[in-house]
Amino acid sequence: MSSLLEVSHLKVLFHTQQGDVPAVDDVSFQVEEGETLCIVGESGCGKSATVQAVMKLVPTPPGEYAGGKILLEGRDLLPLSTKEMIPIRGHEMSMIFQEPMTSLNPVKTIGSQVGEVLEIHRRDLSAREIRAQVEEKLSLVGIPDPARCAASYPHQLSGGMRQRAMIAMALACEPKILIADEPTTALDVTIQAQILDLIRQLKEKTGMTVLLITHDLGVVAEMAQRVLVMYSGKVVEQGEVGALFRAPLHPYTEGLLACLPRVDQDEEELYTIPGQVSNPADFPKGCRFHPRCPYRQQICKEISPELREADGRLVACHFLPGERVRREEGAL
Amino acid sequence: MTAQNSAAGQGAQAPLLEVRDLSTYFPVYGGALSTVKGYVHAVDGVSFTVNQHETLGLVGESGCGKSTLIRSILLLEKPTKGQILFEGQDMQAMKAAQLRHLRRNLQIVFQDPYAALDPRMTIGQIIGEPLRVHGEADAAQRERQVKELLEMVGLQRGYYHRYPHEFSGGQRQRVSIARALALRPKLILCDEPVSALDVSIQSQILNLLRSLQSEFGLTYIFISHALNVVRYVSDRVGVMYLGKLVELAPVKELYTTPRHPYTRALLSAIPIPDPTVSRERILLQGDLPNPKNPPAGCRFHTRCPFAADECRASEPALTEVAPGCQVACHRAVRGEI
Repeated sequence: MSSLLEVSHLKVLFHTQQGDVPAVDDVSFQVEEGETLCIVGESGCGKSATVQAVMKLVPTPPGEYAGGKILLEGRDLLPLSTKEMIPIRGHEMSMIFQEPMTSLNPVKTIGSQVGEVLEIHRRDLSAREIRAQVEEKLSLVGIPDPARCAASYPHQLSGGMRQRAMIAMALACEPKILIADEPTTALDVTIQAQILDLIRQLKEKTGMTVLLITHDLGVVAEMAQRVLVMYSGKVVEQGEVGALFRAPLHPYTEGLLACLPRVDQDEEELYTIPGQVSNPADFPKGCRFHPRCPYRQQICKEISPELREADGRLVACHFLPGERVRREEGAL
Repeated sequence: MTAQNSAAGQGAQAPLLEVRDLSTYFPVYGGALSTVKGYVHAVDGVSFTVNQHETLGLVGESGCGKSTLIRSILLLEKPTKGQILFEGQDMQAMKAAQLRHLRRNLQIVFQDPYAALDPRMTIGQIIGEPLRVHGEADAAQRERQVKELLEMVGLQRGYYHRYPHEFSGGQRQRVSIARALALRPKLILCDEPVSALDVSIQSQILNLLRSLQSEFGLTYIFISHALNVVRYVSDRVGVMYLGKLVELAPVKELYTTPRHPYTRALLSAIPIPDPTVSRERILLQGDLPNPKNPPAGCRFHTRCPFAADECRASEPALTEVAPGCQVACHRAVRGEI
């Protein structure tokens, strides 16, 4: 069975004054129908660039699709022109963004913005049918008074309501995949809980497939079936959520989980990942995580590890947990 | 930073800082003549004490008044009413010169390390500025002290002549902390110091703040919307909602037996990075009410799953229900919920 979305060996470069930045470097993953896949990583790891590439939203220039394939139901999107992408964006795949206020047009009503999607993709609908559909979608996302909301401008709504309106817009044409790029990062925790709950409910109701981008491992644990961990433009670990949290294989995943203070536990001393993310214009040779890795060996400085299968997951590290030796202080 | 030393502090010593019934209102202008049409009650009747060497965490969602509260404590905003006592002295009654002298003891670390540092000053000038303003040291001494401070916060001495744009967010936050430490203050107010940082950098800064506290006997007021971070750094935690302190308790109590319905909802809303943990989730309905026109009675009643008639009618006062545990909820005080 082929996957709904299959990304293979995707490479996206950005041409900058400091040189070419490989924001997405040989990234492969599949999204199966009906699942939620989370891409997690810190700022600059390439998670947003990856999904923007999937939607063909990377501006070229300065960006460049330098290789790979993006197969939506077996059809490669990379060679498609902007015009050919129109029936796909918003119709087969749609996307919601982090900051709903900057994604919505401030001078148009919510109703006309949600309706616009239908006007483009559903030429068969009359104006009245569109209006009815808009209100139906707005009530689907839990907006209490859809008619009033449709007549409102974005600034008249709260952050949570705006994100609901964004979701309504994304769902207007019942896409096969919803891509959510940090959909709750700009929201307060109680509102975040509402939005995550809404996405879960919509999945149950419509069986939609979700590709969720987040930096919050808590959100991953609550939402995902499978997880993709990215670091410096590369996938470092990929696998089923339970196994990944229980026994992370990559030292970065392990560090990320250990350095997070828990709200449900007391912590004596937090683990820290030393150093900082490398400058993307000047990635280190070998494994990109090696300058910060507590287990690095000589080979890590020279050869970039390939993704390999271990314990039913994929991991890009020369050493599995059983084979690691903690580096002595001062060695190497 | 243990619960024990804060408990001991309460008995023996006078509190370092005492805030009494502090309110800060902002006027709202409207109409053709721009007259005052009302007030935003950003901070409304907040009282608490901070003991020596402890960390008081303050949590709440955006718009709850936590930032205004610490700006008011520093008199960066003029409080509408109430008193702020630092080591027993009323700060608002002080003369300008006295206040300036006192300010050496009160420093702040801001949220956004990109906005908090002047891009045209070198790191040396930035960290040395408080020393220069207070006439602490001559240029040569200042340079030596600044380099010591750089080392203390985990940066290289050689960064002295560099500019902020050369540094990452985490390093800039270290510079902000070094600047706050320069005058060896007693109290540092941290306004979301790790919210703009990635998780791997966040834990570095949190551990730095903790080690500096034990080294210099610092006292912190630590503001954050991230409840997990507050749990890690705090001895006692206050929860704010719409300008009011709704609960204040030692960290362990607050996280294991939250009393206020808002605290419970807030705690249950935090996603836990462990897929095996399943919890009962309290989903709050609706949004935060407009602080310009807060609900009558208990401000939380519009979203509270336990709201009764009395909650709509009268405002609950912050009441001590167990040693060190205060809650502002009619029903929680009586143990009904």
